[in-house]
Amino acid sequence: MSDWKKYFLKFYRVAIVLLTVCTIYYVQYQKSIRGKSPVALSEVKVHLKNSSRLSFTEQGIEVFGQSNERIGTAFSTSPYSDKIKGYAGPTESLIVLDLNKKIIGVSLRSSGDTPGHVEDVKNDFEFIERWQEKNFLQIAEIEDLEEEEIWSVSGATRTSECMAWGIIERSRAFQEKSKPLAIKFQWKDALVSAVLILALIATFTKIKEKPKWRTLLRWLIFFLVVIFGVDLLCVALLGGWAENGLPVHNALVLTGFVLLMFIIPWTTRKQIYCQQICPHGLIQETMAQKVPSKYSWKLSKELKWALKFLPGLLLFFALIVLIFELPFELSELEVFAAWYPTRASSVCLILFVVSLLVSAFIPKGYCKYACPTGRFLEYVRDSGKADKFGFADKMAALIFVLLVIMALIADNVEAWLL
Amino acid sequence: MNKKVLYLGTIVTLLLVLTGFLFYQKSLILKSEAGAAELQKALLTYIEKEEVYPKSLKEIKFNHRGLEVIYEVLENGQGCRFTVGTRTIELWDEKR
Repeated sequence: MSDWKKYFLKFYRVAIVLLTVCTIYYVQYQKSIRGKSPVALSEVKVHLKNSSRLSFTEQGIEVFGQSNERIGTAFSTSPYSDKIKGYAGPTESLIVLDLNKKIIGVSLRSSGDTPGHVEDVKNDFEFIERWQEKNFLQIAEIEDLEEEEIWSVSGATRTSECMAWGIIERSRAFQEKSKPLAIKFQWKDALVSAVLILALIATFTKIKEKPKWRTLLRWLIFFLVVIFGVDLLCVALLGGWAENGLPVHNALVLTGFVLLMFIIPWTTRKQIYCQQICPHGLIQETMAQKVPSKYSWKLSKELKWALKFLPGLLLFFALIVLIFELPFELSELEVFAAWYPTRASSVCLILFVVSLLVSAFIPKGYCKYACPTGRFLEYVRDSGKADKFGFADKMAALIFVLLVIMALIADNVEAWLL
Repeated sequence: MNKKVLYLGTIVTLLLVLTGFLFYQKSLILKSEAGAAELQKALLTYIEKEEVYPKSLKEIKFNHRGLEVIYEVLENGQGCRFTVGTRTIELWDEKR
């Protein structure tokens, strides 16, 4: 294959993976900043008459005027206020600020409380007006409502106090989000680094040619991973990161480790994770060695052919779960959570036991026919001169197109389900 | 029938059944949440007006969305518990 075709294929695969991840992230990001019931322009206009457009960002809703200039910011208190309950439920409010972060107005959007109480709060202009002109950043420090002369509404004490604390909580959340997060290191980072170094030694040094040393290294990695609970690559982890972004502040080393598990096979053709780190792979190999080959199961060509599709189909299934937020735990799609039995569900434990039993008769059966994470890693791996634009690449493009369509119709599907 | 098609068809069918079941579950959760929220509002309006918990839900109008609804008054009328589909909510007197 000519060089340009080779590079095209490599970048095509990375592009497909990145576009897929970005689509999932964008869908979740939009949902998180808009909330369950997005703020409408008409609600903001009540406080800022010149507003003509809203822009939803992570830091709040930016309000733009007639000439497209920024004239203020708005916030919905949900989901931050959802934990504060009035009589029967939380109260969601809208806060509108000017450019100096002074409150122009607040209004009650929805409440789980008694409708009569809710109306009382909405109609108590004194309570509502108390918030005007207050500095949004300073209200985070309020500990006592009465000290700030915020008197609860007579007859609707709980609902009005719930609304007040919800506004205060939103200010606190805003300031927490505005603070730059510090990068944290934990003792597990040292373990992840040790696993990575050992795996690199096993992959790139001459040790790989010495079976005894290679086996010793693999078992050492195995014990580090299993005994100290180093996070394993799995669809649940990758899906969570695709939805919420990389945890660079809380788990910088783990993030780097996972990215390297993709970058190394992409650039060097070495499948470092599956071959050196995955404990399930090693145990399957060991199981197969313990059972004499005469007991091995011979799968028919047709069944092998069909099973090869399973990991890809499971990956597509995981995308459906992520986009439509279906009630399914992605860790149950694979066996890896069962390496830490206290964290694993019974489904996962059953899959784990079955996969090991099967691997005794079909060497590395789980890796070959059922592992979506392995299939994903294999997809980005550079396969050298024999590599060509094949069926997997066409399917990846098709899956991406379907993903975009699913992302576009997700809200309509949810409305239809209701 | 071609065995390849049979095997692959079986795998795809199983995944489709699982996906369908999950959509059904999601629908049930969404309907339960919406139905319970509506019933809670209707109950609160009733309690505000009548100052007692209703003995049954005959007098309460809300869209139960075809889900099973269970309602019971608790502790001599000091509270109530209702379940709409998979969602259960309890309401109690403020004095309690």
